[in-house]
Amino acid sequence: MTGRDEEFRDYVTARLEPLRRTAYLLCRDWHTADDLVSITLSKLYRNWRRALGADNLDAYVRGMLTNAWLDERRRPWRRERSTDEVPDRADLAAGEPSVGEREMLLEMLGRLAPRRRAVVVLRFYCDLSVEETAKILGVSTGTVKSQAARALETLRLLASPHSAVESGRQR
Amino acid sequence: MTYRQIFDEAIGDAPPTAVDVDGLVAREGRRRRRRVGAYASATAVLALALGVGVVVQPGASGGPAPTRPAASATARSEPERLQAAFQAAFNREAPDLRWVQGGSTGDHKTWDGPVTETPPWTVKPFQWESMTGWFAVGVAARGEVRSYLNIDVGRMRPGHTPGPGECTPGRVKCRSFTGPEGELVVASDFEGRRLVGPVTERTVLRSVTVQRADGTHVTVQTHSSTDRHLMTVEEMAAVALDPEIRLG
Repeated sequence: MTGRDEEFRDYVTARLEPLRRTAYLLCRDWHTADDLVSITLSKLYRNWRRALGADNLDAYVRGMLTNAWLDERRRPWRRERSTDEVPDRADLAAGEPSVGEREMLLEMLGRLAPRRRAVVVLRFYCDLSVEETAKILGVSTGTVKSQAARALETLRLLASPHSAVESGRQR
Repeated sequence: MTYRQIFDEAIGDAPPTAVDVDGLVAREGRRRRRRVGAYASATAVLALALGVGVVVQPGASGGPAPTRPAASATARSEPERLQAAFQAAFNREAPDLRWVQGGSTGDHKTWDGPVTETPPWTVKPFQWESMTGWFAVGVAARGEVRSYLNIDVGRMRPGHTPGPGECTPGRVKCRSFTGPEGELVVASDFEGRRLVGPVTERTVLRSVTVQRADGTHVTVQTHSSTDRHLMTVEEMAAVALDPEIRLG
């Protein structure tokens, strides 16, 4: 194994799980997530020297991953139906999120249109800036802000310690 | 709680990965060396045509293909051995278990398909940040119950320690006990909710993890599409305790 390979492997080993989780948030299927990560890593290997020159390598790689997902979605066999409507199912039952609530959150995320879902994942899960997110998705910073703001309203309900998604939790 | 924490909570534990980093580096490395070789050969031909003396180092480009790393060489037989061990253990402990043909673990709509006696899975390596090993995953059927079924066997990477080995709060039901060879067995049940159109359906998850004295971890997990578990804790523990399910 060359020094280049070792350098690449060290980077990937440290980032593999976060990348998989990011991919899962985008596609909500672990097999597809692993496919997307494999595609991304193959491209990253081929462009490793260029990637090392990026201001923020992690952001660069997450951009590759997001675009790999958006590209894959254009393939006919990967199409899925999406909607902008996010169902708000908040009630005032307090407590830690249950497995049901987790599934509900992912369900809500899955109902966002692909690019809005990408905005949510990049901004709120990957902690990328508005500018970095806009650059990755090829949209204006204003678009990122407006799309993020709408999604934020729903997520706030979950972030609040006094709110939880309706799930019929065990008491 | 930050948004990242909320999402991490929502994602929960990731199943073992199918991303083969070693294989990817070996494959892409070979491809890269072939490209470099083709470029060097073309440069040499062009130099000869121009009458310029260019020395191409023997082996710099057209040498034999690199041998696969030792880990990959052993990988050819290890998955086959584990696949047989997995199948034998499930056949012994749950002989009426069947497997959904064409069932996708991520798509419940495919879970009602026809069943077969042979698991349509292949054993693949996983490489977590903290653990490496092998896993197999598929959609199983038993009577009316259809369920995600995963089994993995692995070992912690150096410098990493396993999470809490005992029962922790937040699980619907959890118990731990000792196996015949002193293994620590932790069996946990969880509840889930699944949105089916406007209706929320209850689902159940079960996880049995065996931690052996040599550091090997074996986990069997199920996630049923209904409120009935696919296997009992005893059946899952017996599979995970099978001494044939080990790292080579």
